[in-house]
Amino acid sequence: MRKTDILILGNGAAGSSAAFAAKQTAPELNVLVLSKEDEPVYSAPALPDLLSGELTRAQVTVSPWDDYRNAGIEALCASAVRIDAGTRTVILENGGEVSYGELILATGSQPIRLRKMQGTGLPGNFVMKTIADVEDMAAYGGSRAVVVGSGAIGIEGSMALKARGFEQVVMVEALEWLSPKSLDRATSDELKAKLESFGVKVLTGEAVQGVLGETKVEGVRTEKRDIPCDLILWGIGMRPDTELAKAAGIECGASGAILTDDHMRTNLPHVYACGDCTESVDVFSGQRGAYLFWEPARRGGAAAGVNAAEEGQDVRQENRPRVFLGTTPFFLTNKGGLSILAMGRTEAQLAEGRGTVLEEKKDGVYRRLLFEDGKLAGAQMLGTLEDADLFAAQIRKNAMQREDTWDLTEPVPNLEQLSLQEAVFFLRKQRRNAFSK
Amino acid sequence: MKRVTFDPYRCDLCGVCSAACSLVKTGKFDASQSRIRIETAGSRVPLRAAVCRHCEEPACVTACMRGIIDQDPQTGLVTRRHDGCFRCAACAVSCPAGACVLDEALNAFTACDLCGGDPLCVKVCLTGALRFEDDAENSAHLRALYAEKMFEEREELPGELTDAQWEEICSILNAEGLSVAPDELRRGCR
Ligand SMILES: Cc1cc2nc3c(=O)[nH]c(=O)nc-3n(C[C@H](O)[C@H](O)[C@H](O)COP(=O)(O)OP(=O)(O)OC[C@H]3O[C@@H](n4cnc5c(N)ncnc54)[C@H](O)[C@@H]3O)c2cc1C
Ligand code: SF4
Ligand code: SF4
Repeated sequence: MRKTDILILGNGAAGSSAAFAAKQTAPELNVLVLSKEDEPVYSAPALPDLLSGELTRAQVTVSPWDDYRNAGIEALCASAVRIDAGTRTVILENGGEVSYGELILATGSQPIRLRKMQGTGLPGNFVMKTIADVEDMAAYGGSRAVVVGSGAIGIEGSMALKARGFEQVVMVEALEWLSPKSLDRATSDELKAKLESFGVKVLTGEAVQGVLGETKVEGVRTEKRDIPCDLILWGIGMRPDTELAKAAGIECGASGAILTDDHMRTNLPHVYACGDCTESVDVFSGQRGAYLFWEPARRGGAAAGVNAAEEGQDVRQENRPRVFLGTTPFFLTNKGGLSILAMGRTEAQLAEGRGTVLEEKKDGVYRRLLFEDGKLAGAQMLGTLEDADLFAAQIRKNAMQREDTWDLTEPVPNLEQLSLQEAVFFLRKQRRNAFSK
Repeated sequence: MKRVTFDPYRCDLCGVCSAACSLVKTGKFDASQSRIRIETAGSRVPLRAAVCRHCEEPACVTACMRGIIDQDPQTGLVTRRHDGCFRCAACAVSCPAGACVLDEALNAFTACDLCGGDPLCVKVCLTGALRFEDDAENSAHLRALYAEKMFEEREELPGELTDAQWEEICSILNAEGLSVAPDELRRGCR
């Protein structure tokens, strides 16, 4: 049996961060990271650019294998099938066993697939999660695509297929407007117009009912029509990958993702978790859930790595553990002339009768601010990133209701009578006062 | 570590910091390319200098989707490997200081690099609104500001630079190998 001090399941954004942080914290401990893919950590958010052809394989790599070797981190392409927390052992698919001092779960997430729907098993059905998915899609070819789903992957995937030279790209969304979890209808309308100007056809309020074709994908059937196509990109969401954890008795939250404390510890001793497989607090709404984003995966991974290494070294008593206080889920796309940024709550999520919405459309820029009781609760913008930091800070403070008085925000007075720009000026002044006071 | 700090009560909104920054970083006057920006609320009242603070726990480092922003473990300086940037803007959106700028020539997002330890913006700021100071001085300075200005709104509006001051700034720039005439500089600051 192979023995490790720190064993990490997963070599994505979270697992690799954990590995580098652990090794840096405790160089004398041996660190092994396992992955189902034989790839060093790469940027999943850059995959649309790999698909469009704008970036090469080497350019989406975040840390090449040399970085692992130089840091003294071992990596193995192997799938774990069981965790035995009692004996502190992980069993591999190939029958091998690895014992650990500390275990970090960074198993990430899996794309949702509609396996029961007719035709979804045919060649021509694709998801976009890994480098291999993108390479398969690129190799498959074709000139007509249907993209199902209008979240970040649907939007960026559509743009990428268009940039790759596809003649027809049709985005199909079952709900009434695009990304309704992040955008209001008015923002979605602006976005839709923008996407169509890039040549992406957008159909909303139209659920996909089946895939057409006998031996390969030939089209998509929706409630309203048949759309002929060569390939389908399914972007209908990702789900935390927690199978191993659940089987080992690791506690999960209502979202289905692994529960950790703010030191990234699970309910089992010597077992940590980080990244897409974990539940966290959305600091823009105060809600707990499974929020699958790059930045918290990197930050949470580093925290898990440092804390596990210190526990492994038994220096925990001397050092304060690294804390992870929540996720800042930015809905962000900034490529090929399309810039969308949304954060915080949507109009539907504001308390009834207490919301105010301000919007502004000027010089091709659309901005929309949502307030509850006069305090900023959400922001949506197209074509600009200006004041992103101001909005993020305000929304976070209001959602988390921090009591550190210098940091409290005040409601914007006479909000109903203000233009969006005037409200932004008020918020800027308020920040200055909070800072220089 | 030493950081660029800003006292809004001293700033005259002359625009010299941004002009000089764009000149030294890109070879021409273009405030949109400056790594420092003085924010206002539409009026002539300066509020904040948006400039990289080389944070202790930099959000840009964990946010960067290419992993090309690094923090030097010894000096704390936050640096970027620009050629890997794919302009996703994650750093820009996550930065609490609003400090990230899209550099058109580099085709990459970037932020203040403190000019290698001797920031030009601070040198050309004749009012003393910008300072380059270490953490202890910096917090002492903020505490002094706090005591002094507790509930006060700035009342007097910023002044204008005198001809002698424009000349002085030009000679500072000249000493840096940036030869600019006062008229040119004035235009560049608009
Ligand atoms: C196309 C795309 C675009 C995205 N765009 C954005 C964006 O714009 N902004 C943003 O914030 N986020 C974006 N994301 C999300 C972001 O990439 C993820 O949140 C982040 O990569 C999660 O990292 P992770 O390490 O937690 O999980 P993953 O990247 O899922 O990594 C999981 C790792 O665990 C391994 N693993 C799983 N099970 C086992 C097992 N049993 N044994 C061994 N190894 C195992 C896998 O092989 C993999 O290495 C995007 C994602 C995709 C796919
Ligand atoms: S760019 Fe922003 S987040 Fe990064 S170190 Fe500078 S101020 Fe901090
Ligand atoms: S814009 Fe460039 S530097 Fe900024 S996060 Fe994206 S890749 Fe990193």
